[in-house]
Amino acid sequence: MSTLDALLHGFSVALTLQNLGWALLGVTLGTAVGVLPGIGPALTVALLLPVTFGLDPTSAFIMFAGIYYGGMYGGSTASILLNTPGESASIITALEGNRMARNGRAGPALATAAIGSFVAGTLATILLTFLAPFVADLGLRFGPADYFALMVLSFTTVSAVLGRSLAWGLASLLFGMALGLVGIDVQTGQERFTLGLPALLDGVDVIVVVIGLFAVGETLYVASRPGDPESVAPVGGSLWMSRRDWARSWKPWLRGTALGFPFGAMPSGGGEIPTFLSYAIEKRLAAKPDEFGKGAIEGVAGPEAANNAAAAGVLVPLLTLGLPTSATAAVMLAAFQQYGLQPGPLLFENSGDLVWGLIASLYIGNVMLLALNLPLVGLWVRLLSIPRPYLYGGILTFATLGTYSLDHSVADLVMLYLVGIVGFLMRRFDIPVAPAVIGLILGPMAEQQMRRALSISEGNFSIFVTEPIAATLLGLAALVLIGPAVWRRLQVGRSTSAS
Amino acid sequence: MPNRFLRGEVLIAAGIVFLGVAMAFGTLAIPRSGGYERIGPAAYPWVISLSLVIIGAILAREALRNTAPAVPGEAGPVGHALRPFALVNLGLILHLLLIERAGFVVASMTLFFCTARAMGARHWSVTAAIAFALSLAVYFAFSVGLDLALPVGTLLERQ
Amino acid sequence: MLLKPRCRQLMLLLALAGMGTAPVARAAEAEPMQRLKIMAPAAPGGGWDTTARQMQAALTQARIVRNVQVNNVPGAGGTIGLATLANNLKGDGNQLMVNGLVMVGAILTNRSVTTLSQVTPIARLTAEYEVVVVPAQSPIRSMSELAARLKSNPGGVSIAGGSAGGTDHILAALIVRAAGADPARTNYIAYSGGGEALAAIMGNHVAAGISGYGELIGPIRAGRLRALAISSDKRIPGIDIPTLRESGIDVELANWRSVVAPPGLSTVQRQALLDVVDRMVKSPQWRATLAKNDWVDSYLPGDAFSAYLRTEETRVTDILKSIGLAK
Repeated sequence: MSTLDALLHGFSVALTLQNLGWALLGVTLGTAVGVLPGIGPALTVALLLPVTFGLDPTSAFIMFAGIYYGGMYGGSTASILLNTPGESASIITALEGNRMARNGRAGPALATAAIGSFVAGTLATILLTFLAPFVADLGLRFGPADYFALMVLSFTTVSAVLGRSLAWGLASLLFGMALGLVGIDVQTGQERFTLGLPALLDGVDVIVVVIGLFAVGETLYVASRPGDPESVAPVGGSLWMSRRDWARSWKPWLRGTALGFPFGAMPSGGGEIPTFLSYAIEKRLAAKPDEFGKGAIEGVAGPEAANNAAAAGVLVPLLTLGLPTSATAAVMLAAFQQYGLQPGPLLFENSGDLVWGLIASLYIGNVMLLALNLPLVGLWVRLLSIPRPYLYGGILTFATLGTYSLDHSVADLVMLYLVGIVGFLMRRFDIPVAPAVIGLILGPMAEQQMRRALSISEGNFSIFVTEPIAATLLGLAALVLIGPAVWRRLQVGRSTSAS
Repeated sequence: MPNRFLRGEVLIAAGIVFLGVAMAFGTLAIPRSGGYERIGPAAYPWVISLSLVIIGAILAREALRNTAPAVPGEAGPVGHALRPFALVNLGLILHLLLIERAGFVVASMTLFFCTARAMGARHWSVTAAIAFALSLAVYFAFSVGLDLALPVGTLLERQ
Repeated sequence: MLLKPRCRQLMLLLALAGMGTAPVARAAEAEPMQRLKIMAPAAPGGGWDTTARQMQAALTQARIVRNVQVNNVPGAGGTIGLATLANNLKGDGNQLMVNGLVMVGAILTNRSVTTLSQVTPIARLTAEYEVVVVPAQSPIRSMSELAARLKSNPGGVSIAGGSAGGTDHILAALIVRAAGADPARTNYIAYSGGGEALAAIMGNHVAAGISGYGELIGPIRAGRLRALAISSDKRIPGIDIPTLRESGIDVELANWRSVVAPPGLSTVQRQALLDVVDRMVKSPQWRATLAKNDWVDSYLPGDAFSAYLRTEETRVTDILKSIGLAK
């Protein structure tokens, strides 16, 4: 009951005309930067931080929260329409979403992403409101061995995005994992595969790889095939979701939320892994799994919901424990400190106005984003009627701008170009791109967590089976990998014995 | 029937094997001592480089035997054009060479112009005008609006 | 609408902040300084970036410099920014770069070609002390208990902290050595993000942890972590944590932050920068910044700072060699 009172009080703070204005400014800015590749909410909040110095902290945070949620909404647009995701949590959306757009179903794809984002964002915010301390404690139970097991389980999702052949998919995955090894090893400080170049010491940025493989690779491919009817998505078809689209979307929205929120709340979770898992689950549960890879709406609805629920989940450890678990959260933590506030359990007691005003503004921001994005669907779809030369010229302008603005380094642009060539070759030979990104994200996490676990156990491998969470997750992974084969064997056995 | 697609596949498979071998050599340079964790910083690189070699070999064999599944859409009459592809490459290379020397606006303009021409933009003057307008608009939106210092270009600064 | 004037105000602020790109006539001795660029050799949000941005605020609000621009050159523990400063900005008297102890370590572990001897030291500004903590559930209740365990079996005491070779790792090795064990046998668990290391300590997955006071104070106050010792040389007023020395560990370490300038400055240019920083440190705006961020004032300008820099380089080289991270 006291939580409800506090929330109501939060609404009274957030619903002033002035704070509503800041929220609106935030979600608009957030949507705008979310659409552009590489310029995410983290950079935007960091750049705005000194400007907001004189602002009332509550108003500033309401705006930051708007930018944060807005960025998540905007991220799906470029993925769906142009196959050019700007951040790693949107690559899964590009898989089915862009197929849908090419089939003339850009409208429903954008709509299911926007509504799914709203549903997931709102449900996850409710969970954040009422369960935050509980979920935060649960997240802390995960140690290095458990995270390693979780990564192993996540690797099994690769099979869902393989495309035409297991071997090519694995090659793509290994390529991503190889890229993930470049740089200074976190545990020992040793250089690996840096070729003596200082620019490679920090490794290969996931964003550069995502933009290179998708935006640059796609543009090079389209350029190499003039007159290919498939390369441009036709404008047309219904803008709105049909009754069937609704029926196929609502369950993935809910499942995506259930996956995304806890992952976001985990200290080493993040927004990407739940999108991989959601896609794999939706493909398994779908009535027509063959449709996956050709534009299945479930493959947009689930991952987009997971992505947005994870964004709310990230706020759980930030607000309750003071733990930043994403780039944006780290910048938000810096913002709290700028105002002399220390996130953590005491924040709720000392700055109730701010915290509850912030949480209330998340509800409001979600409603604003839905109201902003649904009418925009029509406008966004019209993006595709921009003449092709200018459209792709613009894509490369923003792709290079986003890459350069990461570190202000020409080395990143060189990397972008090289990865773009690889992306082109992968498209040319129909090698799936998504496994490379999955390998790049999961590979380093799996390695570091495994080595941390082994260091803590002083080299004793039994830690992976004696820790209950790790053992359970590894068992689950084994089931996913060999389960279907065993099942098929049983089915075959039964049918042969019946005949 | 000669299949160019499959010949390309063989080359890519060979490239994967080469990457694996090169990585194995790189791994030799990584110290193996791992302290308490025992497996050390070289363990994962070994696993990945050897897996790359194996997968590459399997793919090469598959492609040579021509047993790889047919690629949908590839059968169509659409060929691959070298000129527009090369033009986009030129744009990207010029962009990364120009961005710090001539500044963001010039570099972006060049990239936009090359890409648009490659994709079939006809009137070069119109294309150039659009390239200039977009680059300038982006420059002001980001450097003034977001205080993101985009390079003006060393050539311009020196004057 | 009520929003509009405020919105315009924001836009104006944004516009003003971006004006500095236009070249302005150099007037180093004029009062106030016309323009100054501060490089943060790290991504936005971290300690160096915060220092740079707080300097920007103090310098402009106290009207010491008309226009201050902050730019980020992240990468490799700041050594990429260092190389930029030493090679591309030679002789620029309107440029500063934030750095600190972490860069001293990063130069060694990354085998950076550029070193701190190639830039012009201006002043040490702040210090933040490190705190040794254990999870709330831990049976270890004091620093001397932890030291006893480290001495008898260092492998059994996993210590979580930031990246390998960083301040946390350096302190862990210094403590293991002072406790009477081989520093090479420190069981250090490195994390790249501060939040992740903190989660591992709070979740009782490691025996102990080391991090900056500012990052740990929240969970300590909330009772999730037990503070054993602080790395300052003497007790800090208002902080109820014993020093390492009090617990019999003869170690002191400050995670200091400083500003340096490009090489090749004239005496006049160097003096102008020293003056600017001196006026900033004495401004009420900077005092307020220190208090708000829990930073300890450790202002040490000019030649004294250069000398301090050399002794820190020697000490860090020595300990990193003993744990095999530097050659």
